[in-house]
Amino acid sequence: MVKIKFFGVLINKMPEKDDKGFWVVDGAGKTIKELLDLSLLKDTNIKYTLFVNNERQDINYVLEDNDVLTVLPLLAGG
Amino acid sequence: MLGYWKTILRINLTNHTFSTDTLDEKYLKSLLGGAALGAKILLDEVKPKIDPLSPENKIIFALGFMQSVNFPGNAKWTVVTKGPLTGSFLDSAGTGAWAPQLKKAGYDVLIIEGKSENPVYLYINDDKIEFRDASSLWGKDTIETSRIIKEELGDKRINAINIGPAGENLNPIACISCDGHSFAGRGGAGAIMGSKNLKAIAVWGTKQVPVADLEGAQNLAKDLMGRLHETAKGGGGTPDVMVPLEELGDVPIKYWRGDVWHHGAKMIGTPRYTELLNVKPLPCQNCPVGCHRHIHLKLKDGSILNGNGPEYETLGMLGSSLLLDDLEAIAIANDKANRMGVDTVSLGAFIGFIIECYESGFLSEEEIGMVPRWNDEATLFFLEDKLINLQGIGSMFRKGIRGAVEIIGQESASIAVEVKNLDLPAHDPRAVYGLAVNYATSPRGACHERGNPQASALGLFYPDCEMDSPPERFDASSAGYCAYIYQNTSMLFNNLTMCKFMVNNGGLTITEIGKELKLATGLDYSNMELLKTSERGIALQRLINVRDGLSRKDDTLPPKMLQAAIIGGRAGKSPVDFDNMLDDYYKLRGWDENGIPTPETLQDLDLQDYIPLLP
Repeated sequence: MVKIKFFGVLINKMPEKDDKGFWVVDGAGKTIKELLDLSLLKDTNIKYTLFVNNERQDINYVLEDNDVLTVLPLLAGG
Repeated sequence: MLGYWKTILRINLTNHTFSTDTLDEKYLKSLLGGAALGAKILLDEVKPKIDPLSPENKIIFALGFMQSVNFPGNAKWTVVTKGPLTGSFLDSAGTGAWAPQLKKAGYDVLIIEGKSENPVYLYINDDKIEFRDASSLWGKDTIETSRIIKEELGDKRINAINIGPAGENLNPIACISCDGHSFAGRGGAGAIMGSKNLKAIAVWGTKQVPVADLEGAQNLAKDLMGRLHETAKGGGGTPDVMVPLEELGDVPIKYWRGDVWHHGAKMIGTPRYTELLNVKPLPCQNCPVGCHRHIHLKLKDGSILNGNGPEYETLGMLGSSLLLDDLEAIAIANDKANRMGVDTVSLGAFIGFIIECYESGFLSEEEIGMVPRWNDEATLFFLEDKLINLQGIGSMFRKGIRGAVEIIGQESASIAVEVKNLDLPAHDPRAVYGLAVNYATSPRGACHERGNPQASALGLFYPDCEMDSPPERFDASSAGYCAYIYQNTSMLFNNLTMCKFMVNNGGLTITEIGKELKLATGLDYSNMELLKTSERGIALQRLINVRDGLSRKDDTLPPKMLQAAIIGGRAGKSPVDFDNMLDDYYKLRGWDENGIPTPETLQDLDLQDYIPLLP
């Protein structure tokens, strides 16, 4: 299983959450893109970046079992 | 050590002479440059408690390694001095090609000393330094000054940082402009240039500083430039955050008295901003993000406004804080402030303060010169003019908002929203408790750039710096940590003199910054070692303030920020546990209960040379 968490202004784009805020999905062997296409991210213009186990990865990265995917918004003007 | 020239260019304006010094490699390695290195030089060379406007003060421009190669976001420079508002430490950062040009000219640091008898501007062209007569430039605005200097030097590519009339008149909120494109905005560094009769500094350089792996560094720079551009493209610049931040309750409304302003935020934020102002991105050199906006607007009187559009902070302080939803009026006022060279944050704060003082009976129509109103462009234009020129009601603000309170009466202090005499920028600490601690402890006064916990509320954090999530914004127990970690990351960007938007809006990681450092300098630092350089810089900045007599008593919040809002995104919230939050922060920093760095902390940071300075 892969644990996915969206943060901040992206939280409401998650399709579901467990009690720790993770979307847990059978995603081993799939790319990040394949999983994120199942979320509501496509409905937002907010930019984001991706970390797997606290290391940056791109959207074509193939996830492994027990990976933790962090979807972090890039919206910090001021 | 590569990536640096290890060279200081020292300018004496009193004698119109110059010399060069060698930078101590030990401190380059431990501080990396920029705001931290500038703080060390200020601490070493400028006496405590001097008048910031006196010739004894110095202006220190410092770079990092980023300018050694075309890394994304490297068109950034830091200026460090004693500021006219706080009377103590000030650093401010500006953007523009001036920074890489100074590096190409052969310098990492530029120190300005003394005072010229007559107005001058400097032209630094590699090893050739000229003191040029600026009498004919005195009184010219920032954009005109840049244009004339380029024309006079015969090369449009030459970059000139300069001050406008506000800096010449020692306005304490005067900024330094870089080609009229970007500004070292906060804290009044422009007044320090004015006090030295220094109108501008033009730079052109032709040299390449030796780096550890030039080909590798250039390849990484190219790769990052492409990726960050791909990530950031299509964004609307800093006005993008107006609507989401208003929903969080982070935006100043009616000079921090209002609660919600949904309609107004939509009127002045994107996408309306983009459409109404005919916006195009206005990227700095080597920038893949392009946060600045160029606007082209036909005004009501038929004239054309062509120039820089207001940033989020300006929208907040000249817009929402004044309940003004007229984008055209905000754009006009912003353009005037840019040309005259004043900080739009403090400008808007002063206007809000005046309106509220009038409503509270502390100022009369006669004293102000008009009946000031919210959501009124006439009020904005009238008071902007007075404040820029320090005339009429504006003359009360010659020493900032605290100076105005002294003249108006101490009862008005309950209205003023400042820390250490620097007005709060457009982020509300009642919406993010970490921001409350950040404002209180920021070395130059209330600042959202020397720590940006407000971004944590939008979800931004640093997963490769031992963070699993951004701190919860109303969690008092993590507010001290929130301020601590976001100050450390911001300080890193200011030490490296790189634009934070590469990370915060482009997705550059701290790990990738470490790769840039290694390829340019040969230094192989872990992410936490990088943040250690930030801790050193913050300690040095704190020492400057401590030596000037600042301590816990100055790490405060304005009264309004301790009163809960009634409705809206921060309803019922205020950092009531502020003292405990501050205690937590001091412990993380290794400062005692009075906010003084301990000898053990300085030892741990390898700053033991400074232990004798402790009170």
